[in-house]
Amino acid sequence: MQRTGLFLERVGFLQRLNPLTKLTGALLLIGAAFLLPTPLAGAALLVLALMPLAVASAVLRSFVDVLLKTLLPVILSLLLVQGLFFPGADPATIMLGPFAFRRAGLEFALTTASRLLIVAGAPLLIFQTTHPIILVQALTERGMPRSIGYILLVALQLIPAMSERAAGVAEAQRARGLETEGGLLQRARGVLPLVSPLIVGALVDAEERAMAIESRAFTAPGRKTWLHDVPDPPVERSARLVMWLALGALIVWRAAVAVV
Amino acid sequence: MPDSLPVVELRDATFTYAGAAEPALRGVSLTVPPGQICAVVGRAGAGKSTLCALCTGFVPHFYHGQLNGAVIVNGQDVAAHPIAELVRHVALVGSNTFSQISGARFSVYDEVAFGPENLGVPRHEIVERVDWALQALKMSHLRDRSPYALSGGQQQRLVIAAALAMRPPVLVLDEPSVQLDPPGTEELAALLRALSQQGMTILFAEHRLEWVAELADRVIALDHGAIIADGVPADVLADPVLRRAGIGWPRPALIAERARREGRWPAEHPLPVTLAGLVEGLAATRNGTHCEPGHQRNGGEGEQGSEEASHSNQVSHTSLHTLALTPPPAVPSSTPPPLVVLEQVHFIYPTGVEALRGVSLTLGRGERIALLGRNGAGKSTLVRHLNGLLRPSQGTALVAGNDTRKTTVARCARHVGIVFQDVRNQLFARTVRDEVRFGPQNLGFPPDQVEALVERAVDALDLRDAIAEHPYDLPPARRRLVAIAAVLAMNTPLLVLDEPTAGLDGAGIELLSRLIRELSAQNRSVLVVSHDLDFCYETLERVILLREGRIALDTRFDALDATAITTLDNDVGLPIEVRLRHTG
Amino acid sequence: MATSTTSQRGGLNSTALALIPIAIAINVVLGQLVQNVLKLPIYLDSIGTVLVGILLGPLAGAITGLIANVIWGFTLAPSALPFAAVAAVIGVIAGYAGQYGAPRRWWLMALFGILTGIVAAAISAPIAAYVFGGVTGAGTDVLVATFQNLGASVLGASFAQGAVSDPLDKTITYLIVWAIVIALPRRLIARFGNLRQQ
Repeated sequence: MQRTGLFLERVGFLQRLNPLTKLTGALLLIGAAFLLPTPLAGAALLVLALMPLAVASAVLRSFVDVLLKTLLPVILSLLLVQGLFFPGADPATIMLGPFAFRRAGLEFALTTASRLLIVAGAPLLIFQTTHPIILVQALTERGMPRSIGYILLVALQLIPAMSERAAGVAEAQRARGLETEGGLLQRARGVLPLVSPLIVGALVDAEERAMAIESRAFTAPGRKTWLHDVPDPPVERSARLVMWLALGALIVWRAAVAVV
Repeated sequence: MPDSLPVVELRDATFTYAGAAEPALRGVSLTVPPGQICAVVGRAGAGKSTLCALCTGFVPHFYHGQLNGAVIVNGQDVAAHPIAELVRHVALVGSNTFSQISGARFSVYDEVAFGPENLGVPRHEIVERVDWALQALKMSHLRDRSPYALSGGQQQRLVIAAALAMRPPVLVLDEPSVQLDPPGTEELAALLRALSQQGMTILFAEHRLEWVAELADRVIALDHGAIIADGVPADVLADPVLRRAGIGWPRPALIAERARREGRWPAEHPLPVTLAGLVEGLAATRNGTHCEPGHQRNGGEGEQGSEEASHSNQVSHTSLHTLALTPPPAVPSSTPPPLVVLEQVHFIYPTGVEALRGVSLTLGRGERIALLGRNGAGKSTLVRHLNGLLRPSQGTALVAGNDTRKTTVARCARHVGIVFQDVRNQLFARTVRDEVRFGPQNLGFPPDQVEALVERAVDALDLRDAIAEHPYDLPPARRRLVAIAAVLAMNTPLLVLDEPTAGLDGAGIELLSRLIRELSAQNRSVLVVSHDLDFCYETLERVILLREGRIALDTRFDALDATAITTLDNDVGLPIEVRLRHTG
Repeated sequence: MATSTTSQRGGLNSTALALIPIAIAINVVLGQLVQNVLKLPIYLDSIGTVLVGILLGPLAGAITGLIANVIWGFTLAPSALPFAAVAAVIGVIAGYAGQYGAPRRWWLMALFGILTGIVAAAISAPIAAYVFGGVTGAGTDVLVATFQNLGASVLGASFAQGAVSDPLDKTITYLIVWAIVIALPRRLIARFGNLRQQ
């Protein structure tokens, strides 16, 4: 696992945008997927918005790859569970082989799956086109506590190191005769010797890390400097305003339709 | 002139940690002038780390407790200023580099800039500071690399660069050499010297006395929190008070003292603390007298010498117990089967790296083996083949006659015990006793035998007084001894120790050395992976050198010929005694 | 959170800032370790969250859970993001468990584990039902199908499924944290100040 999460080192359209613009866009798309009245709004938005954006940002292949890998099991399960066992009065069924799928269930499954494409796809595209530190800086400059950004970045970078430590613990304890194969009970007995050194060692590390945080004056009061700029040109600010207005309009329109 | 003013000044400083019964520092008075390199030596738990933390404000601001006396660093009263202010005056660099990399930045350049960013330094000045710090540490070419993609030595330089970017006039390092290999320590010494020439004051705590002798302008020895010696290295490091306190002497002093007893070092000459001093002194003596060079330097000499050294090196308060470990299993009078046999072992990691390229090796009973090699030579991979943690991609590995492909690690663990370098991966129990019990219990010894093994292992590593303590409440050096005891108690015919001397004080190393001899006398074998060549030379017999996944050398220390010595020197360097023989 | 010199906005001192990222990494890594090495049928992906809650209090626990989910989205599956609120609540409950002194008794920890499991099931059910249509793509979907077949609504079946599997996983999580916390060296317990004196 790389230390920058899903981020891909590519040059393209989304990579040049301010993260706030991308986040606003994602919010608008997710809102639209839930609020637009057609059941396949999400699928349409994927094809008409997310995929062209992925192409323009040179990440289409891995975008589709990760999206399928994370969503395919969910969507299949959705079709099976809700198609076969959807609770509801509508008795209409569609026979597929020996299975009687409920029509209402399949509709529900398709609507949900279509929304999921956007709920998972929009953040995925942001993560693939935004270096974590740019995202954190943009949000921190907008008022997110510095500590939150710090924790996010450090956690991202610590995961690979912690994985190595976990492998080291497993080696050390197996070398002491810990049996990690065998029956369920046998393996369950191995949980503490494997989990404990990792955590106690991590807590001891935490003390040293806390000293390092103080050494680097992270907790010092006063103004801070950012070494780099995250550009936010006026055109992006206007675009964000337009997107917020569109989202607002969408909500008002849906509310009005629901009342009528 | 500010030159005359001390940069670090402690007046009668006494500190007791919250909840502790005894003070960790007692009446320490110390003045360090600008530009001095001042070393602090002492046994584990003598107060070295506390002194480092005190000079940087972590005591009493991070580690709380009762502080009496005055501590002034660069004109700042440490007790009266928070750490966030003190960082502009003094920087602390610890031994564990990994936990000192912030993790909040993704390149070396940005990592060094992180501190000044937090101080709100204007951007153009940050750029100046970072450029200067990277240049001072000769790592400008690494500026775009991820901090986590650096080698251990480079990471240490990064941590120092990050500290220097805060522009402190004083640098404090707590055991900076623990994680470094010999080239790494040499690099660090050159760097610290260069910084001191630029006027930086440096205070560092350290166990490796040979390194201290080469580097420091001044040495302070601590014992039970009090200063017992203070002066130039030549005086302090050969002061008998250091040996009485269990700190020991650097090897050149020990060797010269032995030479003095043998009449090869004039009684009126002071004992040398550096290798250069020793070579010079021996040469001068040889020219003055008619002593035949090489006359007494037969093969076993180094070992006998160190044996004498350790007998004379009295450990003040520890009593070394007789190591009445389990008698060796009855060996049939016919040739016993070897413990481990590797035949043409190749190993390729899933990443495609071929770490072993045809290693054949037989480890027998009662052997004392050093496994040497540069970082990346394949030592770790080889060790993991000794108990089936890794299985050969090609060739076979037999542990006690069983092919590791057809058995489990847990079964191999009856024959081969491994203590890995990172002790934290091993320790998890509430008490030393429970920790030591875990291994033999896993191996299925009957309860009374488990207890007997635990007791013996605890005594063998001098942990009797700590048996009910939490391993993590002990100083780091003793934690390593606990880890060794925990594997020793498994009573395996082969014990493998990965960097066992890292962070140990003189007394701990001596304890280990005796243990290894005892084990081999009981027909058990010990294999040591180590950068500490002197320890290997003094304690072990057989030497195996790995280079690029192949065995470059497999011989005995007392049978090293000129070719073997050159081979060894090229890859890992030479033990002091061999170097002496070679150059002298 | 009593030990360090400087605290800052968000109420996190340097000890919390150091521990929370480590705990998040533990969440991610331990799940893998337990499943890959021991192949046990539990997840244990909130050990770090519960540990921080117990050691540092509700706020730190909530932040750990929240960011752990964002990290999960950042690195593996963006579809985990909607459940961030659930993870935050798990951390908050663990914080109160620590303040209550639950680690004194194993059965108190087990009770908190069950409680956490039920609360987690209750909060995640609407998210699971509305956003994911009740399924996750894992084996537990069989339970959802069964409950719906027995006449439950999508929301009801989601909750019932969670109420069956979450308390078990959270109880085991709490018991592991219990075993670790009672075995911590005194020095560390003193530094992580949320635990009531035992």
